[in-house]
Amino acid sequence: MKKDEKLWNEFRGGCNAALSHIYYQNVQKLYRYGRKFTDNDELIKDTIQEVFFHLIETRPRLGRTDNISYYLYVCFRRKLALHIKANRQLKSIDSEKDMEQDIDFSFEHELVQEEGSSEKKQKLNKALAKLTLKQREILYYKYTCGFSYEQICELTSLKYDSARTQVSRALSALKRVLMGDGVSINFLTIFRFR
Amino acid sequence: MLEMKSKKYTVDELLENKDFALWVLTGKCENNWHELLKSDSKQREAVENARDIIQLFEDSKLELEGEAVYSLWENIHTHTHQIKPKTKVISWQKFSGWAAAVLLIAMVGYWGLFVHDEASSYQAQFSHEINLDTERAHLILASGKHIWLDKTRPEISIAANNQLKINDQILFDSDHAVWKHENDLVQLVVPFGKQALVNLNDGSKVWVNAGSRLAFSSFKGKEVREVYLLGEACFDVRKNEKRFVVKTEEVDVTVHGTFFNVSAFSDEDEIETTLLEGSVAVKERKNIRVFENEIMLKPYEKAVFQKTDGTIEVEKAPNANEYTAWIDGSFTFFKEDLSEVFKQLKRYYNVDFVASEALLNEQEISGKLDLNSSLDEVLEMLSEIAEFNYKIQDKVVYVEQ
Repeated sequence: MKKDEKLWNEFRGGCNAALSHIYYQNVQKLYRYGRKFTDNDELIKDTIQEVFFHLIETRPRLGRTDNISYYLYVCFRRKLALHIKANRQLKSIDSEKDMEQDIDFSFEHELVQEEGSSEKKQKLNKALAKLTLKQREILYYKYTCGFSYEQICELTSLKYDSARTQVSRALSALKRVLMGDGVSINFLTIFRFR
Repeated sequence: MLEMKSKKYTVDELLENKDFALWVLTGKCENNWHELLKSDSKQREAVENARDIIQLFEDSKLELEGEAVYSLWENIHTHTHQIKPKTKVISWQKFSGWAAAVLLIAMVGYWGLFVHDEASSYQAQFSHEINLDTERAHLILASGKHIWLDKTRPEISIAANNQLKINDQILFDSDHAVWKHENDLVQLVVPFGKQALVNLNDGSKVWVNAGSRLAFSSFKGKEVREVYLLGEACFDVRKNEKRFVVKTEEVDVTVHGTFFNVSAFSDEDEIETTLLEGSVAVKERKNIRVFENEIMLKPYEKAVFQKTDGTIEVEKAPNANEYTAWIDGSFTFFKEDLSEVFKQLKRYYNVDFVASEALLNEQEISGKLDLNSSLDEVLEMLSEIAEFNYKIQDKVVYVEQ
């Protein structure tokens, strides 16, 4: 990620053109990320703006990074969570419980284009829907964003081992859809050779 | 590149392999993953299963509309002015002490027809016939001596004592001092497929794009900082008491301290000046006219000067920073049609394109091209995204559906 590091350093050094590069390279990514948590476009736009305001305000104190997107994601999720939780609080009765509960990651807020998908794809999508919200979020970071386990842990506040366990459970569930249950096949074989 | 044929991968190994996932989701292939599909049926099945799972995580196509993106940027940009940073200058190899003002100008105009107000020997310096199809960039000193520059993106600097440095080595020229006379200019010729960076001695930088020429000198002892440009360049201008003017045949761009890109090619009818930061004045320079046509630009605005009738129009340019992406060695385009992308490739690689009108205008593509790639590599990638076939023959690219 040498390019990221260079761009980041330029920005830290006072170059506003670098800021505009960073903005244009990440604005749509952040929007899509925001849509996983809410379909309130205005809220998402406001949060993106806050993230960049934050960058500008903390510019002289910023450390190095080799993955700008990741840094923005962390900042964005934190701020979005605060807003969503605050909104929840306005509507709920048990406010303390709501503040503790993390925000929900979901693919459902987006329009799902399912016309003409194969049976296999439909089965996979159903299995995906059965995964826990946390599992889906982790897999999103792992595959869609390409983040490392360390980065995934930071974003989801999970310990390394928990994260890995969740990934393996989720992938097993998805694999089962495609490859069938290993046990039952063996059973069939045993039966045949009787 | 790994020998893919011999190693076998299980589904689990593939699911944990970052490079494989990158290939599935973006098509970028460092290790020839598609070779695995030619292997035995078990391996093929593993690859397909892993791929089907990973494809579940293709990102959505949702996007914020251009207007929203632009207005969000405006707010952010305003904020940079509200927060006055204590100039903590982080200096590293190439970008030491960037001051607030960065000016990006790409200017284009006829070289030979340039006429300066004061008597000077500028015209004599720049012969109109210069072969831009050469392999390397080169410098032409006032004495007429040619100095060839290696490297795809060479860097020229003017050292403190007015000496010329090429890629950090001082040019030692015993026969001719580089700046003998006051009006001596050095001309940098950048051929197609190359770029160069010039560090002027006021701290300003100029990235010169392919197929362009820049004439510059030491600014010491001069009242105005002037450079001459034919083609396209990005200027990063340091603010000081002396005005900085970029001269092309038809248009002078005076820098008031900003970041902007000007594009003016001699074979096009328009000269474009796109501003990213600060302010510039774009003025048509014709001695005959009584009323000078001068306009001031604000950030993310673009001035288009029509050579045919001398008018200047101002437009909004929300994707302004896309114009300057090439200084990184890449060309970014955002929702452009093929004709626009081909135009840039034509410029950079010096080839012509033949394609049907329908194909050129029908789709919008966005993406980023690495300018270190060869024309073939770039077209290979584009043809997959935009779905066309092509054939290169004698510097002409024939494109069909």
